[in-house]
Amino acid sequence: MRRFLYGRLALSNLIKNRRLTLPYLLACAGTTMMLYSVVEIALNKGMLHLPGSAFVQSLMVMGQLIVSVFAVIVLFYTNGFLIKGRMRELGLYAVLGMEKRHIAQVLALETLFSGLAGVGLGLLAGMLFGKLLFLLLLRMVGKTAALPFQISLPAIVQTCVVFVVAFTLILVSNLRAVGKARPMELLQSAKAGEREPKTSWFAAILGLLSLGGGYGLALWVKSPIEAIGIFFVAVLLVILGTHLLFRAGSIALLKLLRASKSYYYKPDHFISVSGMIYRMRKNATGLANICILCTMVLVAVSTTVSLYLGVEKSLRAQFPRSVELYLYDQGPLGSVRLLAEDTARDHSVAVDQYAQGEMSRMYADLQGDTLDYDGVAATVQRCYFMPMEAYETLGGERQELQEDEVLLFRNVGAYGQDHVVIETEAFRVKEELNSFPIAQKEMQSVENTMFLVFADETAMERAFCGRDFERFIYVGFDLKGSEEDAAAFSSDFYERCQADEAIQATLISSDSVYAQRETWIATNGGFLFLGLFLGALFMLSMVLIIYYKQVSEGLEDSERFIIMQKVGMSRREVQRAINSQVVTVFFLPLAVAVLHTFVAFPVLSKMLALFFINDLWHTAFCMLGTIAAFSVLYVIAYFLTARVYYRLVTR
Amino acid sequence: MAILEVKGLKKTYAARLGGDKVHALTGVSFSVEQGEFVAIMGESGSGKTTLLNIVASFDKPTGGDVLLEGRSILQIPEDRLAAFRREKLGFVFQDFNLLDTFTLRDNIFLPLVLAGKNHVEMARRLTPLADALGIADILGKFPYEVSGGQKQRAAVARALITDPKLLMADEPTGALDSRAATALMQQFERLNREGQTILMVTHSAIAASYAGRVLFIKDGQVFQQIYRAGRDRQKMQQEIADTLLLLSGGGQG
Ligand SMILES: Nc1ncnc2c1ncn2[C@@H]1O[C@H](COP(=O)(O)OP(=O)(O)O)[C@@H](O)[C@H]1O
Ligand SMILES: [Mg+2]
Repeated sequence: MRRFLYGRLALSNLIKNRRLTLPYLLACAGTTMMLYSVVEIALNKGMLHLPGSAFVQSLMVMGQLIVSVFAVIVLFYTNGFLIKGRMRELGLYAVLGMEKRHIAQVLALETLFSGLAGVGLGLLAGMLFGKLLFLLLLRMVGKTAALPFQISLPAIVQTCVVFVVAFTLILVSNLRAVGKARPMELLQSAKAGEREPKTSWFAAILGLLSLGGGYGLALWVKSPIEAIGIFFVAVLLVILGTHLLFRAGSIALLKLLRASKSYYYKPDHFISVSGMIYRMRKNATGLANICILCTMVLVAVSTTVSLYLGVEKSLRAQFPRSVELYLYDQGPLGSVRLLAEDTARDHSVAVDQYAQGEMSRMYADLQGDTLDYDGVAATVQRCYFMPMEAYETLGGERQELQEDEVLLFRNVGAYGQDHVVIETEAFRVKEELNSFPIAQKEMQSVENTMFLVFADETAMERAFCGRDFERFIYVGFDLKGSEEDAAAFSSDFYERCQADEAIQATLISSDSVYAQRETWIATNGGFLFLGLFLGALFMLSMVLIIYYKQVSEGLEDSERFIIMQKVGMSRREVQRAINSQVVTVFFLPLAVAVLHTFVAFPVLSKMLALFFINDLWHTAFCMLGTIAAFSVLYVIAYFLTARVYYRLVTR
Repeated sequence: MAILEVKGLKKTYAARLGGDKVHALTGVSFSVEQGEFVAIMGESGSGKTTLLNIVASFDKPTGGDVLLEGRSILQIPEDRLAAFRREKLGFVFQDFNLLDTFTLRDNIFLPLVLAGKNHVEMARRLTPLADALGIADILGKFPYEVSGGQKQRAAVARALITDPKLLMADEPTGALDSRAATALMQQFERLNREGQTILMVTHSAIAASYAGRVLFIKDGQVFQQIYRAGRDRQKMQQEIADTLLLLSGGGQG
């Protein structure tokens, strides 16, 4: 009977506080849905049989980990808001003579009810929408197979385990909060902690240094390989810096403004500066979190969009010609060409831009104008040497070269010198080429590559300085015709090469855009899905934090604004003051997140170079597009939550 | 000359859910002369706050008129009202209504800042006021750092810094202990001697005994008024108490 009473009390509390509990419930259902879907995809047996899907599935396993950890954090964090807002109510129970263990019982029941409702709703939604998500994923990774999205017990169990952990943590922290407090404190705690924050110059300066350090690392990173290692250090520094600056830096700055009398004692500044000082103390952490979440969304989505939309660019960078072969020996060159043309005819495509040529490959360290074969520095270059004759058969334009002259091409940046010394042998650079038949000029690349064209074999031998370098023959061509025919050609041609003994014996490797495209679309599509998926999750939690921030501030501010009206502020003035504060506080995190993202551009674009996305404009465009789309969503979130705030303030 | 004239003021609150209409004021008329200290008394729920809120232009009456310096405040357009309040009226509230985000000094400056005064002028006005109210050395503190009496004195300073025609106070001693209440009333008495017109609502006979005239409200009307007329405070307090007794007795009989 008693238990029944507490159950009813708990239930009625949840309903009475629905302005606070409902969003929480929805967030809980939302995260449950996302977790269930991603777990189901990660466990889906059907995916195993699709070619190239193993990687996608391993991405989902990673995603499931991130979502789990994140869900626990977000629920725990928002619960903090809820319980803080309810301390008064709980205090009232205590004053009215309810024992702590009864309060605890009510809280436990509330947690149980809201947990069951949220997770139950989420699982249901997961079963319904999970299938949609799954279809979306399959589309993105370019698979058309109709795979069943089953309702799987293991996925349900795994999802529930995560939320049982989350709600246990929440319950324990709620009970501890109640256990520690005395009735009077419970009653007062909603009013407590309204002191003005102290200025911590130390924290402000540390924040500045930390942010500066993170920015510095991100901006001065030189090579893509370096970018990976540096990225995570930079991220940690920026997160730390953002938190410290939002907490201490903002207050230090505002207090400086307040100290300037002629600035501070103006109607607009007076209210907003003092209001902001007060507000930053309570909300700095929330704002910093929102800012970091925004940045995460922007980074995750813009890089994965860039990857996905850049698949063709990345393939182009890897395959200057659509079909490429590398051979040891000149011998079967003729039959390779014949085979290509025969196969093309069978698949109604035409061979185009046929290029071939023999060259040598080596690594050498470039210091100033000197190439050193034994160098091991970070400045090491991949070098290709070839005679003029090969340059011509590759499709280059013939030029008359002296024995001590070379043509030179670099894929990244300009060489810009008129001499090149190879170990001890000096050559004059007759011309630095802007393009090369089998390479692309890139804005950045994983490997710096140099092509040197010599007058003839003798000149090239001189450059070898008595060493013996690997030689190979490059054959490459494009195909004219439909994509499908070309893809069919490519797999058929590969088989025919393997079947031809003469060719097979000397073939080092062969590859084509058509063979790689599927893998790249699957990989980059998987990344995009994960990026959007996590983006949506971060967005969800962000809106949740914003909502609770608005509600708790609205309740507080309504008292302040009533007072202001009483001492001679018109409704319009009050409205304006509210507006400017709300807008500042709301858009500050977005502005800072956009700044973070801009600063991350160099390091992100270098990381993308690892995936052969070398086009800075492409990446910049994707980033700006993402920022624009995200800002629109953010503004929508603003209007939705600001309504709640205004209603509270002007009631 | 009457600085404030209240003529046949009526206020009816719309019916609450299922309840009857509340006739808070049914016809209140009185006037306040320049330099007077008037206290308004009455039982809880008798309409004192309603009356003050209408005089203060926080609320609109259902009927009647309020004239300040001969001009009806009901005719003032909405967008001028805030400025009017700021310039002509000063308020002291029972629960102080100080903003926690401001120091006492900035709380006091608030109406001047809103009026666009510069900070040198504001400081010039504050100095004598803060000295007189004995809060000069706590001006830099925040409301939560000082006592109730100190908060209320800061609120009085805020009400007076604009040099208002009329100082209004709704139960200013209501949240104060008796020592702080006495000190505050002595301040009011002194301010009044220096020429400040004061209209104060209270239910405390002690507080009302500092006034020059006490109005009693009952059933939404002015029931009776008594003048101090040079009597000493003890006598005045006694007469107020007797009238209050009569007031409640009259209700029963
Ligand atoms: N906003 C309102 N809506 C409805 N009734 C009100 C409102 N404000 C006050 N009242 C009613 O008007 C009467 C007078 O209230 P009030 O002026 O606050 O009295 P006092 O200040 O003398 O205690 C009371 O019966 C009260 O319930
Ligand atoms: Mg009252």
